Amino acid sequence: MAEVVVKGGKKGAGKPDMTPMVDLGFLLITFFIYTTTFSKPNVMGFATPKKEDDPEVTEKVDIKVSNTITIILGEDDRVFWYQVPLQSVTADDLVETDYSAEGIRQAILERKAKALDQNVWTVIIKPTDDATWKNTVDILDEMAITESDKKAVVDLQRVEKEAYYTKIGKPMPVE
Amino acid sequence: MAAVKPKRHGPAMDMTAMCDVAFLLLTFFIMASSFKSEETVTIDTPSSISDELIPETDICMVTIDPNGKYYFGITDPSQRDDFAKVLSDKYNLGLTNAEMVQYTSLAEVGVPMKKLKNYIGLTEQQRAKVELEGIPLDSANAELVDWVKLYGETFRGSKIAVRGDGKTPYPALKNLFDEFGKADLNKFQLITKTEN
Repeated sequence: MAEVVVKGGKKGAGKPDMTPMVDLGFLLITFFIYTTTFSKPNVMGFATPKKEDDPEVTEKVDIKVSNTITIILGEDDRVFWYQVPLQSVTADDLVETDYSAEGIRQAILERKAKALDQNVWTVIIKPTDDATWKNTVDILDEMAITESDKKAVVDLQRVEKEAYYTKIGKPMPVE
Repeated sequence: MAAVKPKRHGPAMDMTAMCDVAFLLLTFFIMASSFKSEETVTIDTPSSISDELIPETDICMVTIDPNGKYYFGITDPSQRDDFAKVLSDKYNLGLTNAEMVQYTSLAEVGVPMKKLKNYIGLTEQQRAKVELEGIPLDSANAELVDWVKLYGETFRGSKIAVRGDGKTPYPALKNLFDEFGKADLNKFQLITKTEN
């Protein structure tokens, strides 16, 4: 329907039609949303031991067993922990848990509370070859949550591998 | 006297307020975001509670895809052409100025240095189809370490970010930390996304 154009002269001239401008505005918004990254990723600091400090040596430093916990990250998001001397670890010592807040976090917190000396409380993280990067980051994240500042990511020793493969009921791969 | 006709308007509304909102949003999006670079691989990083954001500049990123292939990228696009120049000079890659500019648009590179010139020469569509072999990193050929070291020498005080996919097997990361450790690179920033 034709609209009656009010030839009001001076009064009407100050009121332009905004519709095309709104269209343009939203078009630009759409364009920017599509072409930009919005959220920046987070970072988590992580340091590996320097070459000169051999992990074997670090491990052999006499820390009382009750002040440490060793966490083995296994296949298919399975996780095990133990708190016995490294040399004597067997499949029976491995306690299986999961990555939830009631699982591994609770285990760490309980053990930490029972530690003889809170200042030397150390968590040793041992990802197996079957573990994924997500598992590793999840555990590192638990370290931040449980405030276990002393932590080390190291390889499994032979006895631990034996215990782990016995526990999951698989033959140990030949190296 | 003619009867006064009531004015008949079509359904028209005042667009001024809507226009204001549109441009306000536009301004917000422009300010709060940065342009995407052409991504070579899609990586689904694990999540963490860390609330530290990745620095804008002076950080290079090593990406590991679920197949254990390594990629190298520089977060700040304005540093990319400088790096391409240094890289080309040091290893005689023979990149032209146009190719260095082209390199600026790449978020990460997944080909060995020898093939970089060829790779940059491809169009965006061709690049998407190319089967990437990743940058070699093993005890025989630790080329990725050369990239990262050169970046560290070009931009002093820069950091190394490690961006692994959640499904990447751990040995691929272990290899990375081992090889970098040999080159005395021990500090890393692990890229994660916010927990939700």
